[in-house]
Amino acid sequence: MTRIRNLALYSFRELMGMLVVRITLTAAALLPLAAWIFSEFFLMELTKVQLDVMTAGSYLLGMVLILIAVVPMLGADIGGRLCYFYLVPPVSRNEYVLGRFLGAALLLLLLFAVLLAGSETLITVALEYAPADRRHGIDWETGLLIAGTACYQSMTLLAAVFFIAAWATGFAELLLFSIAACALFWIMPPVLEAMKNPFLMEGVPAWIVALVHGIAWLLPEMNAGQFILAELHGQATDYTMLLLHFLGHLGYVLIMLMACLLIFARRDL
Amino acid sequence: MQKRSLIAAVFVLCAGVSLHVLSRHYMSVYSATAHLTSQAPSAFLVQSVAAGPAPGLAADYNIVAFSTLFYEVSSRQLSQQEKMRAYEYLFNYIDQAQRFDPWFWDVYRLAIGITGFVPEYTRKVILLTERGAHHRNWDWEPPFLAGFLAHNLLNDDRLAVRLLQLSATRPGAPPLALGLAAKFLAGEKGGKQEGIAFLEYMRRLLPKEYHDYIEQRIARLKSQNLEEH
Repeated sequence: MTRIRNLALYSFRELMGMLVVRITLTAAALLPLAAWIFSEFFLMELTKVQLDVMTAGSYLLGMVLILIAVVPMLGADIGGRLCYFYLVPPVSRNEYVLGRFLGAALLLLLLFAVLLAGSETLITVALEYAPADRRHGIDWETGLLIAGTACYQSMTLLAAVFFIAAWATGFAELLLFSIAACALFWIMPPVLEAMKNPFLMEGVPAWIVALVHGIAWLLPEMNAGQFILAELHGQATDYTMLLLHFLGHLGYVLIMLMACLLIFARRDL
Repeated sequence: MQKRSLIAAVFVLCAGVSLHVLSRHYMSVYSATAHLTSQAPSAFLVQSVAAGPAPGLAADYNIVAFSTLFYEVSSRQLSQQEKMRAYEYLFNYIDQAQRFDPWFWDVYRLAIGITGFVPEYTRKVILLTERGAHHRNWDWEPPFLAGFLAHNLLNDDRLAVRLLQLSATRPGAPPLALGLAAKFLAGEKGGKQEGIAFLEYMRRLLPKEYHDYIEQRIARLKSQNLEEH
């Protein structure tokens, strides 16, 4: 346990040492300002627009941090054989994977803490100064929901990247498949949504529909934006659905991490 | 030891798969706005894919695109054909914004204040606002504004009464909504004065950039009113 903790802290410090990570965290801290400027183009529900930017920004920055910081770190470990540096007895391969994962997870937690602070600042300003019709439905819970859902969705992506790293032979392969995973996670909710539309699906062969649904079943639900949209307008959050959403992601993280441990323990390095 | 680790690994894997399947089965792509996707122009699909898990931002994009195009329309001399094409695009932006975020008040304010006064789009805007009124179930304004447009521009008092009655049931609705509904039910035609009062109300709702457009309409109604007298 101590070895996992030490490796996690070391990984966190290693990631924090990267310039791109510090730039991303600075961007996250400045995001409320960008959201505020963007909202000036609108007429009424300015706070809703600001929090829309925070929502999209949370998902994007989470993905960016994984792709530009975690993927190169794992790529160097595996492709550049740096993992030998950590895999000296008594450190086992499982401890190495878990330590690295927890270090990256700590970095994501820091990112979402920054984003949570930004969202809550915007909400505080809105609650204090904006007229009631410009902040309908906005409350403290909204910021938590934005940062919380973006956080666990990013953890799922992080686990998927670790799963890819377990069998990838080098940085290029890891980067390619990680980008593909990000793209699939990003586009699948709207594609599935569109597939409910009989107008659009007219003439699409049944096997393609079955194939897309099959792929969708293999991926986690990345549609927490729907919960946030409803929450932003004061609609009652469906907590049962939210819990199921969270549990689905927890399950996905467990599957990916366990598959990663099983494969990594048996692969040639 | 290895056997125990393997059993633990299989157990965690099973737990993960169960949670994933449970979530997938019960959620089946949870969507707050699914019932609005009755048709799908390619632009909507492309925007959906680009917005990914953040549909609210796609609605915001459509509103910005609307404002940009409206500025073009109002600041340049366009032929009638060009104007009609621009209004078609304006309506599409509003329609798409509603499909991404049916609760967004800016959508209805712009739809009623701008596109609602183009005869070809009045009915579409009213129906769009009526759909929105069911989403914004705390708000009396969208059905009130749409009801008045239905009466004033479409002369469809049945639709107007339906919308004004819906408005009157909402918290904070002004007595005017019920009064107008009663008046339209009785078959009394609203005069130009009511139209002017409505446009002045709209002018207060919209920001300065849109005032010229509303004022032109007020001036036109006032001149028609003077001619009649």
